[in-house]
Amino acid sequence: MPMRNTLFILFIFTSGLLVQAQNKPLDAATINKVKSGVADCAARTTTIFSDFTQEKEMSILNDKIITSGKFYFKKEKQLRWEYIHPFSYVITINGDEITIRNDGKISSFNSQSNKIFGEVNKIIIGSVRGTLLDDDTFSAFYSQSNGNFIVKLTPLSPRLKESLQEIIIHFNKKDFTVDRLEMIEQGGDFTKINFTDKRINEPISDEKFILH
Amino acid sequence: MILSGCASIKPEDLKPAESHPLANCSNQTPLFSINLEKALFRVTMEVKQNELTGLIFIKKMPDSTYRIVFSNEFGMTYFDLEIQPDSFRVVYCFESMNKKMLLNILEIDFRLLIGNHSPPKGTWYLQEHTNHQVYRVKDKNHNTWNTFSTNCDTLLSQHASSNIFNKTIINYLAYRNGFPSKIHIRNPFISLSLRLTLLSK
Repeated sequence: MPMRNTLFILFIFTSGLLVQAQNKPLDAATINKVKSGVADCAARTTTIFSDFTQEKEMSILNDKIITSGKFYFKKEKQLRWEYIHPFSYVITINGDEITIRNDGKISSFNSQSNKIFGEVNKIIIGSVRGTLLDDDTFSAFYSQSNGNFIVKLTPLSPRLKESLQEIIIHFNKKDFTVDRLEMIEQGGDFTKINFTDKRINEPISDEKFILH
Repeated sequence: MILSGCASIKPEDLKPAESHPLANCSNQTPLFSINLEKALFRVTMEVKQNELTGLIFIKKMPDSTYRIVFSNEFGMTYFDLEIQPDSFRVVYCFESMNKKMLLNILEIDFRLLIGNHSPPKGTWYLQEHTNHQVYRVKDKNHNTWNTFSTNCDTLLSQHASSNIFNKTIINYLAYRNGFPSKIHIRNPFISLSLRLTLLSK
């Protein structure tokens, strides 16, 4: 066998082992621990305020689009995403109502009327509140890294499957808050959202979720 | 809407230029002229009464193919198109936008925007009331009017049509360092508009 082929097979074999080691499935007891940890965290969390950095990686193009901003969540279903760099864009979600401020222009619509925003709303709120783990429209695979419990969610509904291959949520092992959210698209592109400088249960005014 | 869609795309008040206007006329679009490798634009796309916002990333691949990826602010892709001189491929398109007519128009729009390696020979005109230099190019598919500034170093607009229903108007605005920071693409017949604001290149 030519050396090149041998090296190639060796590479495939060892890289497969590495992937397996990194994604070793959790046993049932640890899965229950993750689920109850996330549920407890959701129950005691009334507000979250954090910075975020979002990276969209386009696999074939070998390029990243990096954006960043501020994230606000207030129980039960209030959310504010504020993109600051490299453009200004704010989206607030109040239950099913979505409001956007883009270029100073404000528009509102119902999340049920916009498939993409409806799904994004469900994913983000569901991740923060932990409800996505028990959502029967996803199958879940649990694993861990040094600092995180990792839950890989595969959509089962044909509609969501069309655009999303997987959603991966990285829960912090210490406090079960979300450190990172990854959305992998059917085409292989993926978006990672890293949450940093998280502040939990600090007061956030309802005004923050209303755009004028 | 129908009436505006059927209006002529030919710029007004033209007379044939007596000679090729100036040596610095490139006949090419800004993206092509500077041999652009990649550019990221903020975009607002309006189709009839619907509005989508997000980012458009245009990249020239090593084989000179262009990839055009439009995604929303959360990173989810609306469409990913591949344009080559003689082919067009939809790499991905979100279901509700995956309509042949819309994709055909987007192909024409982006082909105009990225320019052409070997544009057919055209005819120069002078627009009398503005002194703009206008270059008309006609090939088997399209009739295109490219309007340049008076000294011919800046492409101001492109008006193109393939038939009475299929028209594209591109305005290149707010030039900075030889590149437009705003590009406005309109297709009057289907009320499609794309407003691009340059973020990086």
